Amino acid sequence: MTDQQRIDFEARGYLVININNDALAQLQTAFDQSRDHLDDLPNQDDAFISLAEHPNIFPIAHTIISDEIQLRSLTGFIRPPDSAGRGWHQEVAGLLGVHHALSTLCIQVFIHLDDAPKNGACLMAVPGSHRFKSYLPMPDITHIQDMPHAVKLPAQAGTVTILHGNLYQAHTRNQSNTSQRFLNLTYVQCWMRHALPKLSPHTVERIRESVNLCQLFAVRDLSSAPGYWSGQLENYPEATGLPNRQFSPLKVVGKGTEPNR
Amino acid sequence: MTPQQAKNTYDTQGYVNIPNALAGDELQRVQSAFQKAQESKNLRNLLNQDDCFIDLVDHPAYLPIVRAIVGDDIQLRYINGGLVKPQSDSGSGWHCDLSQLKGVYLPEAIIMTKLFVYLEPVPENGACLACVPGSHRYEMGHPLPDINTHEDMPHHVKMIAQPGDAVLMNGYTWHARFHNNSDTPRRVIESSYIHAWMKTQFEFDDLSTRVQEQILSSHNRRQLFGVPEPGQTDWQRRLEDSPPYQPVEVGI
Repeated sequence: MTDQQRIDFEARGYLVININNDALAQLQTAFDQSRDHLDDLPNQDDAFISLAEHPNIFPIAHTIISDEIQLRSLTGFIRPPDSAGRGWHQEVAGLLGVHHALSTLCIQVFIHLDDAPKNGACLMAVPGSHRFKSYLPMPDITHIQDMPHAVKLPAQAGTVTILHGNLYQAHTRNQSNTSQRFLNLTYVQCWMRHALPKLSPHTVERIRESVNLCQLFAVRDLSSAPGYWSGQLENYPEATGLPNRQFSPLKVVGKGTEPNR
Repeated sequence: MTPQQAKNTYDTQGYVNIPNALAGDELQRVQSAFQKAQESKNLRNLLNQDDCFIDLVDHPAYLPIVRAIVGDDIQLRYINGGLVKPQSDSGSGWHCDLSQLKGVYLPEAIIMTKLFVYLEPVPENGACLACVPGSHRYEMGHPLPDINTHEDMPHHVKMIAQPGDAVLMNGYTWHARFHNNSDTPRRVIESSYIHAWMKTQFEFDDLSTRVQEQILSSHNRRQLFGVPEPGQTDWQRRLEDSPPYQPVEVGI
């Protein structure tokens, strides 16, 4: 993640990047072969397992969420002509106990597998709204397009949009004559529950080949206390998540029987 | 003390004392069950040892308080027994359970709260839990003082307890367990309460059929023990007599 990307994400609550044509073609093929099982993608094609650690996407997700990153869900969906969108909402609004305006529990990654026509389905967001406090009410509007300060996000095949979980977001109706395919990955902290499908033995075997995939797909033993709050990734620089925070240099003091640490 | 009064104390101090949470025959029964679990080395597997430990998870003396503090999406993370031997340097040092937690702005969060239910008297020199009042509001990264002994921590308060007393403590509060310099062991039941959207630290499948049946028969217990509810995501779970989660969505 570049400094500019970090600044953009911190300021706006979203980031737009791209995957290359080869990766796009592979995902389009895998998607089409899994059309009847879009809620079960990890078990359908190994391409979806690798997607969790995609070299263009994952380093950014890791920097935003931290070393404790985990996948919550990985699904596909199709927006046929005239399909409804979804009104303005905040993905994490139902999670109690957290001051979401200053926290980062979750990010959503949308991968567009088709170009969106001018009147096609697309994402909209209110830049900076990920810092809105929870008591700020949504405006009482009738149409998605009525939201003040909202922007339409780019939607070409290969576009990847990363949204902060607290961002005001909406999906517009597909008023075009063509269908659009999307992939949606949601990353959360590893001590949160996931909503992945039950993984097949083949999928688990494939995941177990990588320490990082084991953490991302929650294929690990969390019964031990030290492992509950923490994660450990290989081959990535340490990430404490965004926004950047200080952590106390001493973790335990005053025990009297050993040096403070 | 009403749940709201307890919550007010907890919100300002980072902990709240709940005197006489257990008493009389019930306390004796729990003490006896604890002793058996201790003898069979099952203090980390309490739920399978005796039904009284299941009843402790949603005990009316404190669950309304825990609920007022954590919220209607409350869930158990674990319940364990703890034993500290007499005359032992077994203190834990001053720390904050959540100090290294990523992703959450902790001074304004209730991510995890711990409940300690004491089964023996805890004198001042007897492996006391101690807290620094208000430290759950410290800015993240606020440094722990580099002190040598437990007693050196400024402003700390010791939780001297009688059998049956309970303490509820925010996981972000600075706390320590002092060494046990007394001649009696400290026996405590420690529970951790979190939100339904977090992982439990036990597997439901590891519980006996008998325990599972007691849990499955009640909506609130299913939520408390992390049993998935068909047709509902973990982000939407709420206790039975609370308003169901209604997502806010505007515009078509």
